[in-house]
Amino acid sequence: MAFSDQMNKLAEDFVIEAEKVIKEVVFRNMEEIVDGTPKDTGNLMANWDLAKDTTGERDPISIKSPIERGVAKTKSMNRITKGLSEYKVGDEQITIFNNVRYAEYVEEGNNNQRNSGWVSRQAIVMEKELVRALNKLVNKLYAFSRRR
Amino acid sequence: MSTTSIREEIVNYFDTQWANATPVAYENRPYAPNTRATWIRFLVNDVFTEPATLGSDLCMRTTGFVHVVINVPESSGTKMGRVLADKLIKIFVARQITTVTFNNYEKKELGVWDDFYQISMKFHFWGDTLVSQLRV
Repeated sequence: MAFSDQMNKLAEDFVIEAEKVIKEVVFRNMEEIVDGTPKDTGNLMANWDLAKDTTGERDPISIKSPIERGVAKTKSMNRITKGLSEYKVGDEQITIFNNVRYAEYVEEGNNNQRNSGWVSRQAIVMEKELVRALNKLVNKLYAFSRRR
Repeated sequence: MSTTSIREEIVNYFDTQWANATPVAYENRPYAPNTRATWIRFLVNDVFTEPATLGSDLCMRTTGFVHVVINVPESSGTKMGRVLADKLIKIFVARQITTVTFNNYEKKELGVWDDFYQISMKFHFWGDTLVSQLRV
């Protein structure tokens, strides 16, 4: 195979694999964020969402009466799974959001349910994991292409 | 040095610099806010530690952020909050203390919650520790 063909193949393989890696890392970290959301009625926990190339413009769903932790988590994770399924490498960005009115206060302000800043913590972890996973992928594909 | 000592280093540095400008609620120390007085909540979040160098004596880099929430009593104006925010910026941004380096910051005005006008500030840092120092 000519060198240029090898490089093109490498680039194609990278895009396919990178998409899987990104989705896996984001999903896993979103699960942590949803799990770590303080729960009272379940309203905040049920309203996590993910979209590609948007600024997160969506009204929160309304929870009329308290719901179980598992139910709230499933509502968020279903939306996140759907959002991730629409993501392709090359899309400008993934936006993770929660539009419940008091979400920002719970994350940034004084709340007694848990230490604030848990989304920021997980965002740092996610960024580190993404860089590490993509580095690993580049090394794996490069090593594989050299063997061919 | 460990993540615990990095946290202590940051708290001690801040304690000295803040010089009782307001009461401070630290993590793991009981604090009951007075609803008539300005106070701040201070948290150190050491999030992630990873090797930062190669070689026989690895340097472990801890990344994290200091989270400060400024609380100004409702209906007393917001100026005090902004003055304190500026003071915090001077204390942390682009500062280096023994093993910790602070770089950028985030500021969000949250508005009134629980009787206080709240401003959230995050100061990102990294702190380096040699593996050989962890054995001591």
